[in-house]
Amino acid sequence: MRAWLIVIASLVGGCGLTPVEVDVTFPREENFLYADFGQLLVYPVDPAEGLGDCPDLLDQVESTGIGMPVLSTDRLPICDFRSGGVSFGDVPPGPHAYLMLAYDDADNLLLDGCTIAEAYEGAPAVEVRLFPTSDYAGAIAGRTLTCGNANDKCTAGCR
Amino acid sequence: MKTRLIIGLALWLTAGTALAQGSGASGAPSHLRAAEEAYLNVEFEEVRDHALEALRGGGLTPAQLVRTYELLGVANSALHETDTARDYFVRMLGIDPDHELDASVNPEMRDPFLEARGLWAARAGRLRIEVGLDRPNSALRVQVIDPTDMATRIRVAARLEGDAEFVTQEYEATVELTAAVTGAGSADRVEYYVEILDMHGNVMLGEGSAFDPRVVGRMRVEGGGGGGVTIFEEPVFWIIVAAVAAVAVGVTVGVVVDQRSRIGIQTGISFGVD
Repeated sequence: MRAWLIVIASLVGGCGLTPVEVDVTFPREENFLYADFGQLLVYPVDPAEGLGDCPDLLDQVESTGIGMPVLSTDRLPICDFRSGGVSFGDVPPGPHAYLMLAYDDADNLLLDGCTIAEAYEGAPAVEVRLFPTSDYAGAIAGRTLTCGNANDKCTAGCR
Repeated sequence: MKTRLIIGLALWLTAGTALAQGSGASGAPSHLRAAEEAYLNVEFEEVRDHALEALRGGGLTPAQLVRTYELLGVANSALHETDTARDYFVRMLGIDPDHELDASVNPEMRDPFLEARGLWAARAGRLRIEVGLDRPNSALRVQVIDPTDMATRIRVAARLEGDAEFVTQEYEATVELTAAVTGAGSADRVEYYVEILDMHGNVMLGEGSAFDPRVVGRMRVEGGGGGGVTIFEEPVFWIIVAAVAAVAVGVTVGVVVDQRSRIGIQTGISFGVD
């Protein structure tokens, strides 16, 4: 009886995923204000030789598309990525490349970033630092921001 | 004569009523009733004579037969025929090994009874009947265990379940006998009763009766209908149950292990500086 209780307790206790935070860092708040959509991608990497894959992955994404990630979110409103707003589960063990893409509403890739990290129980946050792409300057040229800060953007819907 | 009177008076005052109550005299043969009457009147010679007549008349039930032997034992004991008394008590205990004399019977008169009980304590087994259905021979197989050596005939009455009348047959007493029952080979159940008779035709032991027969054959399962085996008796059922249980345990363990290794991610946004 006790053994069954332990099994059931373990099962119930194990129903929730162990979350690892992916912290997406924009260079400045202004860059965030120009972004409208985001997409988070996870790619497998070779533990021995793939730890430097990020530049190639970013080149690939910017030139030919997202390829074959093992996990991917839809292209979601950028505000959804705040405060644990986007999540997914079952990250395979081992190191992976975490790519974050930020688009404007014209489908221009404004910012992207990549980091190699391993998600495991008790792991530190995976920090993905975004950098403007080569299209950034052209895409925001002529746009006027109506929001003063990220909070206004995500609560009032201004741009 | 004086001693006999004193013993008899003591019996009448102490044991007579109790024995009469336990006699089951109502419905008993006339000689047995007369013996009971004489016992209440402390007339041990009459008790002995009537009880002997009852015994020889035959037709006693097992309870009446035990009572008759008890009366004979007590009467002969009171008449100082201790060996005879012991023999009757031996017969009584052969039929009913658990039978006890009433505690109020005079201790002096109990000696033959205690002697008889000691004799039976040294013997193994007790009078009994075992009956089985012998389908290949369309018969009942009757085994008789008789440590008393008093059984002389075996009466077997049987009918197929649903039939109105019993077919009764008598056989010489033997350790095992086969009593043919027409149709028993294919019948689901056979109802029967078996009686062991002594030399006078008294019933020493009955297994079942015409009004409460025993049944042998395929036993009905409660609520089953049809008399077949239930699913719980099928080995396949338990194999399937065991397999399902094993799979369930495996899946549970797998899920537990899998859940423990699941890692999710959730996002947050922060702003740095160039």
